[in-house]
Amino acid sequence: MSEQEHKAIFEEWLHQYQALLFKVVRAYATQKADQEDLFQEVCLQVWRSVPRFKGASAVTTWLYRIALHTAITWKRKINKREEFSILYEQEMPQDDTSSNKNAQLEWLFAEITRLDKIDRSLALLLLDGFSYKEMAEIMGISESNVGVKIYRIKKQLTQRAQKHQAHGL
Amino acid sequence: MDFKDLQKVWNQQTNEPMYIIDQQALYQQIQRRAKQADLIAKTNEWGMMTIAVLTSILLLWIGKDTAYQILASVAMLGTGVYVFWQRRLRLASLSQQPDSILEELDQAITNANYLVRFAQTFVYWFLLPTAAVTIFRMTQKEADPWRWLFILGAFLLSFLIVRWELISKHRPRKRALEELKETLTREVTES
Repeated sequence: MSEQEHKAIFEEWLHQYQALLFKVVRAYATQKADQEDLFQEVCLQVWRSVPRFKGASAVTTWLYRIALHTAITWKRKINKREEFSILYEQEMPQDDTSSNKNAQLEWLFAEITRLDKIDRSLALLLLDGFSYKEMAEIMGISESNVGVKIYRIKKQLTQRAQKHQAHGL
Repeated sequence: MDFKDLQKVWNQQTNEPMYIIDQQALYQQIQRRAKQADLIAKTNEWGMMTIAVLTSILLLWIGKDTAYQILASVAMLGTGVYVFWQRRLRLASLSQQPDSILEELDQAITNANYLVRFAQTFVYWFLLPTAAVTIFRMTQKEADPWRWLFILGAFLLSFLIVRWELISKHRPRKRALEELKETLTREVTES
């Protein structure tokens, strides 16, 4: 694979699937500086993975796996920060009509970040509609293991949601 | 509120990016970091191999062809071969494509083990042969006490640095990876 092809595929993936990468980043990093750091790390790993992608799975499955693994291992070295401010020019403006929607989403992201590192990955995959089989393939664990974890995650999230609703938030 | 409601909240997300990305800066940064990581590993390995081979040649070239010197030269060459072999193992492990996060974790643990073993055995495959050769040469030349102090201090320092790296970097990294793997696989056996 030539460098031009490598770069073209990487840019296409980044353009088409950046929302997926941002979801993972938001689930694992809460501070903006951390999000930038993690996004940088995820992009680096995605870049490295381009020549290894043989098309055996969907690009989304591939990118999820790369991004989740990077995020899980990144959590261990969270204190080690670097300056990546040059990568981001500005934050997207949020309009008023979406404020309620965003509040609910913010709450959901906050709850996801309260889960442990592995459960966070599964929660993201679950919410994005991946099947148990796909989740098992991405994570490398058995479907029954996924089932046990998902049951617990669903229970945990719905209980917190009910509590949140009861408090009228 | 049940899980379906949470999914509805989740699905409200649009594909709007959180940031406007400066593609060019990102691309350059990534290339730099990718090259940097590879360069560090390559420099370490080639540096060690060059030192071992050059020392080995130098010993044969400037020496008096005593059995001790030939032995020391072979020992140094063996050090270089060992590093070369380890490098091949490392590259082979990098070329294998993991199919899941668990496999990636396994690969990361293998790499962490490699670094732990490399640091643990550093004394045997590098420090002892090098020290043996150097001290042997110094006993033949009747070096002054300051030189002895300097040489022994240098060996002690390199030993301490490698130990520090082992204790503060490699072992914790390996432990953290193993804990992650345990978390990932624990549930079914517990429930």
